[in-house]
Amino acid sequence: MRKSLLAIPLIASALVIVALATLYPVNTDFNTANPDWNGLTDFAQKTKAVEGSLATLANLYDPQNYTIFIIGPSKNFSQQEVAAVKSFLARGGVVVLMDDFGTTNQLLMLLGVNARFSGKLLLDPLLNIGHPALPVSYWGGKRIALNYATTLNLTDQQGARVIATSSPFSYLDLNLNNHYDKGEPTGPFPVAVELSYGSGRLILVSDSSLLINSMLNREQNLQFALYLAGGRTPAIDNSHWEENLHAEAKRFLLSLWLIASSPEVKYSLAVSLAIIAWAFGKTHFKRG
Amino acid sequence: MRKLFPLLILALILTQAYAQPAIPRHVNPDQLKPAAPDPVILTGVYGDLSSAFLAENFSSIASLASVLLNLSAPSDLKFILDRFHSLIQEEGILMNYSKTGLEVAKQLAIQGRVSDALSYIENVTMNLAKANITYMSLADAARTVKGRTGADTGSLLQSILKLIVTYTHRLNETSTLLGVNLTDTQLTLSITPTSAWVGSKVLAYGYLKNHQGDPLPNRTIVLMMDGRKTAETTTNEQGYYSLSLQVPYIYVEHINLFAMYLPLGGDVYKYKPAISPNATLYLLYVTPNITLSIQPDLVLPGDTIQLRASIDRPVSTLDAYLFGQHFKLQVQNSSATLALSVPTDAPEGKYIVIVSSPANQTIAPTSTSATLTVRKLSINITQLQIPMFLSPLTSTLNTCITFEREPTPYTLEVSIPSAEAQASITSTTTCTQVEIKPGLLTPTGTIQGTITVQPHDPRYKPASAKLQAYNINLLFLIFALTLVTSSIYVYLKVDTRKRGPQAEREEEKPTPIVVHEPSPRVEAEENSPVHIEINDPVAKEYFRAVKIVETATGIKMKPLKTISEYLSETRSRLGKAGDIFREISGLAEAKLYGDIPVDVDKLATLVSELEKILEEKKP
Repeated sequence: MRKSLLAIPLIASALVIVALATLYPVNTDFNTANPDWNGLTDFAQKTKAVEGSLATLANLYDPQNYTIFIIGPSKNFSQQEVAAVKSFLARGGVVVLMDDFGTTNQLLMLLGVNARFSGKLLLDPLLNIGHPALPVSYWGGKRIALNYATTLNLTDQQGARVIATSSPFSYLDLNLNNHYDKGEPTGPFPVAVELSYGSGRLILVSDSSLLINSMLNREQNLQFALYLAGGRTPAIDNSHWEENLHAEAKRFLLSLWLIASSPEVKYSLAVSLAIIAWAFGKTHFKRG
Repeated sequence: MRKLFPLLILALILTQAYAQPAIPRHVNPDQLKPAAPDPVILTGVYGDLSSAFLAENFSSIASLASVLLNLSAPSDLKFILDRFHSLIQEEGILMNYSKTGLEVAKQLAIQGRVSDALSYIENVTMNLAKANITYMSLADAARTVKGRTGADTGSLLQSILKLIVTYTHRLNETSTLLGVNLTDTQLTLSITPTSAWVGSKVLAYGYLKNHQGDPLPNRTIVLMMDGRKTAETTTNEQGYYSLSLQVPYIYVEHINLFAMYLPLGGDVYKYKPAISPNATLYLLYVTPNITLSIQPDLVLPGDTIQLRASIDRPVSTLDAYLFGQHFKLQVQNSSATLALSVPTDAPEGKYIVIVSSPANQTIAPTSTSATLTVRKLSINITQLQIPMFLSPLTSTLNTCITFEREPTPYTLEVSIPSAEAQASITSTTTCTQVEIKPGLLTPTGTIQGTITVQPHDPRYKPASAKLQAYNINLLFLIFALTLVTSSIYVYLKVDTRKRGPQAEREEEKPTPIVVHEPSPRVEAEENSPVHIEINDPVAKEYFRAVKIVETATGIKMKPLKTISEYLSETRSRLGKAGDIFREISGLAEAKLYGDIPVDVDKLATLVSELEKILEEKKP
């Protein structure tokens, strides 16, 4: 009797936890299921983007129909992933790397590309959307808004075509004091470049936050995003983000749901539940 | 260790704190309040504007003003700054118009077009007046800007004022110029001959006189050919001039020439400039014809083509351009040939071949073109045997391919994204097999993929085909069967428990215990039935217990069963009473098998207790 009393609250707690994990939206950066200011739901919905691990996207998706987006990676890249990206590019694919203070430089090194993300904070005290760390940059005659961005170092890179630059009033805040100090490099700086890589193209953008929900509709960011996709469906790499426990739990529950949705499992579950319910039901009614 | 634990926690927290990135990835822009512009930066921009005004660089002024109109600031400050920057932009436009107007007015004044010049001077006067008024508004706004932002606008205002003063002086000079009466002049030009071969010489001549017909000697005359200065000469004492000109190697139908007189020095305030009427010189040259043929004009990569060009004029070389390369062809007997291979990596499509001849004195350059088509051989995926996939097991896909010509080695790639499956194989046979292993969690149902054939021979183009197959996930199937089987087992278990002891009762009749009349004792042998004497009190009590147990459990004691066997059969049904019955059975065994003395009273007590407990258990 005591054991059954203990089981009820435990089961109830588990159900509540599962329900909360399922229903409450994730809030991790760049998650396509995160509808908050730092998620990518808007971009994913507007472009009907797909997502998956980088190796899967690069190996299995047609480069003529998909553009790979690597956004704000926080984890290092394996040799297998680098080989997959190289293969995707060799088949004429386009890979867009959007990063600022992450791990993309490691990927660039493994790809043999000399361009680097400088890792220094870009500020613009005059042309911004409300704060110097949210600078406005120029994409041809249009404006795009960045959010805690860096710049691209093309010193050793040849053949790069600069797509967007910061304004002449921008500078790199080397000592992070939010003020311009003598000696700090001043703009304009390249913030988006395009490189040829074999038969494909590599596009580097020095801000990972350009496509998040709170930034996508600022200035001409949406048009810029569509330009980066180049008429193809975005394929977003979701295997290099740091996720919290909630996001991992949600992913696990989603996997379980996919398994449970398969015909064999769902019909067998229904039949099994019916049999067990009948068995215990008969017993209960007989005793009564 | 316990004392170290808080220190370890502290060390962990500190490590985490230091490990946090100093620069955030992003912030929520909706939660930020716009900050005022940095006064140092703003002052620097105003300094740039000041320099631009001084240099009369109005395009730079326009772009800087446009940028400043887009800067970010709190709403109340933004209004003030926008107003200030609009005034700067307006001032730049007014000064630009003034500068342009002054230059045109001066030219018109020099040409003696007084009324036109006066019109421009009037506009410039108005623009400078507006610029003055705008300057006063700027000065007022600058005080507010400095007070609110701290940015210094002093140098900018000074530059604007200086420019206004400069343009006012120029306006006065131009007005003075208009007050002087300039004398008309007349300039003529003639060319002989009027048609000439390119590279030959012609004679240009004419005269310069005033409106009264008096010659103007020792004046500089500039000759212009097709808008470019060609030569310069001086009039003689009679006001005439002449010079020999070389006809340039330009292969056009005709060129226009005219002469110009621009007063210099003191003549500026005496004579008006003069331009002669146009003189046309018709150019003579020869244009050759090139005939171009390419054989064949439909080729595969790697094939050889023959290019033949004929020209009807004596030239030594021809230039050929194809596949991004340039070839110099030597002309012999009015023709040139070229044999070359189509690049093996040339994409399919039409290519333009151009052959041209360069200019050669009186022979004009010319060119002609022809089209060459490069096509690739095709591959067809003719037979595709698609298995039913049983994930996660490996399946074999059979594919046959036909080649337009001889077979070539190729790489076959299969990609099925929904199954996370990919495979490739290099083969030289027309039919091949490739093994594919769908992912562990590939769902049951239709899966789609693509098969691509990449030939190694560059003459062939790749081919692809859609793949559609059905997948059954064996793991899910096994799981489903296990689930159903388990539920059936549970059902049977529950059902059996509900029916109770009746479910295990055997159909054979219960065997009564044979009770014998007292007779000589028979020694119990192994595996032979035990005959129990009813006179034995232990046996009596034991059998009393057996009867009670039989009633409670429904399990009868069969003749061939031993005391232990019956005990093990019934004990689980007795609950607490099982222990008592065990004790009773032990005493009975001791007496009956071991002939060990047993306390009968104790045995009787146990049997009574057994009876009591089993009575209580009855519903």
